[in-house]
Amino acid sequence: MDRREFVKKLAGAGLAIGFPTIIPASALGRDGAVAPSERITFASIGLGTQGMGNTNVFFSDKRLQLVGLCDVNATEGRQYYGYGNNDQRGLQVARQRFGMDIPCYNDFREVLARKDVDFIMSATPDHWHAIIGLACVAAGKDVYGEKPLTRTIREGKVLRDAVEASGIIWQTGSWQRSIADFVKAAEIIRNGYLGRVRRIVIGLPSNFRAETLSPEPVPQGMDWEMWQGPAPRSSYYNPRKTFTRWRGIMNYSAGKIADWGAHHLDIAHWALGVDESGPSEIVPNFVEWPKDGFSDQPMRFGVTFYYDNGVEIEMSDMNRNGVEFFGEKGSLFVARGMISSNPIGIAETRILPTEDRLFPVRAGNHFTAFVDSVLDRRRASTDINIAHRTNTGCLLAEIAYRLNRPIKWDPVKEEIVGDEEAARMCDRAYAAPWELKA
Amino acid sequence: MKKTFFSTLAALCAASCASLYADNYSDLAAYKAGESLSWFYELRGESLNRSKSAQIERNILGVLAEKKIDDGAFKRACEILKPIASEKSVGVLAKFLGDDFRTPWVCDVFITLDSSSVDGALASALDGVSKKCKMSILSTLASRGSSDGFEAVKKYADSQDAELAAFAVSALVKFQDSDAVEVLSSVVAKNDARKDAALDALSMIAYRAAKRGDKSLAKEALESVPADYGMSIAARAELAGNDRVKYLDSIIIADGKNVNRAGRLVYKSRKFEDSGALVAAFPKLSKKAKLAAVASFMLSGDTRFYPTVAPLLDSPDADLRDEAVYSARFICTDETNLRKIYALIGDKNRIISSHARNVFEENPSFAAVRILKEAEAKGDLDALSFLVLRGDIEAREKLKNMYFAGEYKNPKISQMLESLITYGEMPAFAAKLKSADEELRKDMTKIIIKKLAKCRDKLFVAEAASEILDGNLSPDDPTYKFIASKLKVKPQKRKAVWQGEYRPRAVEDRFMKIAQEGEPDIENGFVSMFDGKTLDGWKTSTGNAKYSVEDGCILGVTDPKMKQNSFLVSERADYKDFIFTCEFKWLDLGNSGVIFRGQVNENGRIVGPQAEMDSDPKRRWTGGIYNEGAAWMYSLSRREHERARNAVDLFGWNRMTIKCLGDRMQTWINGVPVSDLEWKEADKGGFFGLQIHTGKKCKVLWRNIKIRELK
Repeated sequence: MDRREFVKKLAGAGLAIGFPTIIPASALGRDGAVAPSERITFASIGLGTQGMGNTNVFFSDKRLQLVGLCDVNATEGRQYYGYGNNDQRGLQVARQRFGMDIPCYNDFREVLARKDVDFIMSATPDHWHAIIGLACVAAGKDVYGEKPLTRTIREGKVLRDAVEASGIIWQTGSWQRSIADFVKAAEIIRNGYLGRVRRIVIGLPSNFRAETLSPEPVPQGMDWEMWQGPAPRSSYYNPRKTFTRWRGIMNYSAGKIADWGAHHLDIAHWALGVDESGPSEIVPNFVEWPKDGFSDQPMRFGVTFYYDNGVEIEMSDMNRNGVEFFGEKGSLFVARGMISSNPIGIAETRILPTEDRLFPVRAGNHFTAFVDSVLDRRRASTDINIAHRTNTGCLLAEIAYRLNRPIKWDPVKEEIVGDEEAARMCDRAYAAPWELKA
Repeated sequence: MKKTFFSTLAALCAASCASLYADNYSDLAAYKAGESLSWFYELRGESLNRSKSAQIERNILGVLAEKKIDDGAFKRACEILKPIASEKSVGVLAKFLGDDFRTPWVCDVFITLDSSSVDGALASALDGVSKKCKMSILSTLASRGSSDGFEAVKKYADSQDAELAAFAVSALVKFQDSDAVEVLSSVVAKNDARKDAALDALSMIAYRAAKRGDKSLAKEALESVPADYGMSIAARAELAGNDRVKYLDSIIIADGKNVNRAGRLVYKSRKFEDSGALVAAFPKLSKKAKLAAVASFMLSGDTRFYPTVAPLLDSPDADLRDEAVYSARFICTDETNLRKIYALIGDKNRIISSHARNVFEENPSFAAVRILKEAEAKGDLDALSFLVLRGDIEAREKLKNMYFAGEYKNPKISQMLESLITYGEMPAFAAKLKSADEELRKDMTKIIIKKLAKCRDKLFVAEAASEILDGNLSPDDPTYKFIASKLKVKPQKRKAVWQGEYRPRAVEDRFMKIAQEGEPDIENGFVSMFDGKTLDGWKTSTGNAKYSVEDGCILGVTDPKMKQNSFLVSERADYKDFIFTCEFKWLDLGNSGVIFRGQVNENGRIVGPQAEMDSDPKRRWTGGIYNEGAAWMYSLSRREHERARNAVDLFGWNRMTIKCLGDRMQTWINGVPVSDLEWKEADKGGFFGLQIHTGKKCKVLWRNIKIRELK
C-alpha cells in the first residue's frame, strides 16, 4: 500500500488528517493553568508500548499540548499486527485515548514539516532512531527520544554531532537517571563513600527465545514498508506471542544489551564520571547462540569492559538485574526500587549540600525535567553525548560477543583499534530512500 | 537432495573445502523463508574462527554464484559475509546490485569493506539500475568517502530527477573537503528545492571543520550560508573562538528566532566578566530569551548573576518565577531573596513549591542555614526536616529527643526519624526498645523493620539484626521474635569471613590459625641472594615478563600478551628450612609474589607455595600463602586478619619475611605476623621465584634479598 492509498483509507475511516486544531483546555478536562495558545506543543512519533506510555505522561503535563500523532500501524479491530497486537497501541487506540480530532499521520516527515510543533516524542524501533533524530534536527525540533540511541556506532556519532551543532534540546529515555535511588548511588560513589571502585557487576534481562516462523501477508492498515524504513528488507513475520519481538532481531536492534544496557551501563558510567568517555577494552566472557529460529541474538552473554582508570565492568544477563559496585569499603547494589549495601550503612549515606552533588532531577520526573529544559534551554539530564557514549559501550559489547574476541577501543578518537573486522560492524548500509545525512 | 548437492559442490571447490559443513551450504541453497535456519547459525558461528573464515567465504560465494537462491537466504548469507568478506566477495556480490531487495544487503557488506575495488564496483553498477538501487549505492559510496565516490555523487547532484538530486546533495556532506563545499555552494546559488538540504550540509561541514581546527574550510563553507541560518550558529560560535559566548549573547539579546539554539549552545561556558551586555539587556528581553539567559547564569555557578534574576521572583509568569526559584539552588546566597523563596514553599503552584523545597535541601549557603534555624526555632517542622537533611547535628539531636519525648505519635516526626537515622545509630536507638511505652515500642519496631527490609541480602540482614537487637533484647522477647519473623531471618552473629566478594576463593576458617609470633631476627647470619648489579644466581623461567636490574633493585615488568605467569627463579633449588627476607615495591599495581620451595611439575609448570603480593586494594591478601596454580592455602579472610591486611603499603616499600621449618610456614609483612600454616605435602626443598602474574600491567621492584638457612 502506498502512502496515498493509506491517506485515503484513513480519511474513509473518519480520521482527520492535516491541519492543527487548538483544542480548548476544558474539552480535555484540564484546569487550564496555561492558556492553550501558550503551551508547548508536541507530537508523538511511534505509538507502541513505550510511545503510548510517554505520550500519556506528556499529555498530563499542563504546560504541554498534544498536536499530532504518528504511527505506521492503523489497523482496526482487535488483531495482531506485525510485531504486536493493537488493542493497547497504534494510531487508532491513541486517537481514542488522546482525542479524535488530533491530526494523525503515517509519515513522520509530515509531522516535522509543521511549524507549530515545538518538540517531538519519538519512540520507534531502534533502526529508526538516527533517521528520525536527524530529521528533527533539520526541522529544528527538540526531541525526547527513546533509548537505545541508535542501532550502530556511526549513526550515534553522526546524530551526536548534528544535535550538538544544531542547538536543539535532546533528552534520551534513560529515565533511571531521574530516579532518586540511582542518583543517590551515583552520588555515594562520586563522593568516595565506597572508596575507590574497582569492579562493577551489571545484570540485564535475557534476549527473547528463538522460535521458527513463516512469513505472512501484511495486514490492512499496517505500513510494513515504512516500518522497515532504513533497515535492509526482510519478509513480514507475525510473532503472535509478544509485541516487542523485533528486539530479538539484529536487523532492527542489538537486543537486551542495548535495551537495558542503556539504563544500567549509563548509571555505572555516571557514577564513575566517565559518561563522556568510554571503555578501552571490551572482552567477551561467554556467549551462547541459538541453534535455530527467528530471534538471532544470543541466549546468554557476558562481557567485561575495562576502563583506563582501572575499573572493570562486568555485564551479563546471568547476573542479578541491577548495578552492583565493589569498592574498597564495601559494595553497593542498586536496581529499580531498591538500593542496598554491604555494610548496610553505606546505602543510607546522606549527601550534604556542600558535597559533590548531581542535580539532574528537578522536583518531578524524567519527563518534566525534559520540559523544563525545553523551556530554559539547559542541556537535558540525559543529553545526546551521554546517551551516545553509553550506547557505544553497549554496541561494542555486541560486536565483541559477535566476534567472540576482545576488542580495543579508543574513547577519544572513538575508533576500534587494530581490528578491521570489528570496525566493519560499526556502520551499516541503509535501504533507499533513506540515508544517514552527515 | 543433499547428496546431489554435495557432489556438485565437491566438483566446485577443492575437496577440503567441500567437506566442511557441506550440508549447511546445500541448506543455504535450498532455503525457503520459514524453514529451519540452523545452517545459518552454524555457519555464522564457525565463520568467526579465523582459520575457517576464508574457506567459508569461498564456499558461500560459490553457492551465490552458481545457484538461484531465495531472498531470505541471500540476506542471511550477507549477514555471515559482512565481517569476513574479502576482495573475493566484491565481484560476486556486485552482480546483485540491480536487485531492489538485495542491493541494501550487498551495500551493507560493502559499506565498511576496506578494498579499493569496492568503489569501482559500486560506481559502475550505478548506470541502468532502479532509482532505489541508485540511492542505496550513492549513500554507500558517500559513506566510504573515496574520490571515486565523490565524482559519482557529484554527478547525481545535478540529476534531472529531483528526488535523486536532493538525495545526492545531502550525501555530499560526508565528504568533508572544499570540493564538496564548492558543489554545495553552487546548489545554494541555484536557489531551488534542494537549497535547505545544501545549507544544512554546509553548516555541518563547517561545524566539523571548526571543531577539528580547520578554520579556512569552515569559513569557506559558511560563505554561502546566511548569518541567521539556524544550523550554522554552532559553527559560527566555534569560529568565534574566545568570543564564542559574546557571539551567542548577541543572538539572545537580538531576541530573534535563534534564541533557543543560542541558549543551549552557551551551556556552561558563561563568565560573569564577559556578560555585561546580556545582564544590561536582560530586563527588556522576551520570556523565551530570559529563560535561556537565566539557565546559563545558573550553570555558570556565579552568585553575582542572582541580582539580575531576583526580580523574576515577583513575575506574573509562572515559568519565569519557577526559573528564578530553581536557579537559586545554585547561585543565590543573599538572605533577602532566600527568604522570599522560603515563603514560596507554600505556593499553590506545585512545581514552584517543590523547587523552593529543593533550594532549601541543596543550597549550600550560610544564609539558607540561618533562615532555616530561625524558622525551626519558631517550631516549623519543615525547617527541622530540612536541617536534618542537611546533616545539622543539633537538629538531629533535637529530632531524636522530640521523638522519644512522645512526638513519635506525629507521623511526620516518625517519618523524619526513619529517614534520618543511620545504621550506625541503630543499636543505641534500639536500646529504647526496653521502654515501658507500648506505642513507642511499636513505632520503633516499625522503623527498625523498614530500615532492615531495604537490604535484600538475607545473610546480611540477619547479621545486622543481630548487631542491633542482641544486647538490647533477649532472643525470647516477643519484640525480638516479631522483628525476626517480619524480616524472615534468624538473627546471627557476623560471620568471620566478611570479605563476601572473595568468599569463594577464601580458605575455610577453621583451617586457619591466626599468626601471632613476632618476626624473627633478620640481621645476623644472612647471606645475600642478589648482588645489586647483575642477575647472577637467577634465571628466567616460564612466561615472557622482563626482568632487569635497575638502581640496585630487580625490576620485573609484565608482558600484557603473555599467557602464563613468569618467574625469576634462583639457580640453587634445594632450599628447605630457612628464613628469607626481601623488600618489594609496586611501580604499577599488579598481582605478584614470591614462590618458595618451588618445583617444576611434569608439564613444565612451576608449582609450590607462594607468599602472595596482592595488589587488590580491597582484598589485600599480601603475605597469604597460595598454592601456585591451584588454590589458596592461607587467605587473609578472617576478621582477625584486619591488622595483617593493613600491614601492606601498596604505594611504598614493604618488607616480606618468610620462615620455613619442617612443615610449618610463616610470613610477616613489615614486621606484622601474617600467615601461619602447616602444610605437610610441601616439605621438599626447592627454589625461590619472583613472580610476575599475567595481566594488563604489573611492574615490581625487589631489593635486599637475603636468606639464613636453618640447620
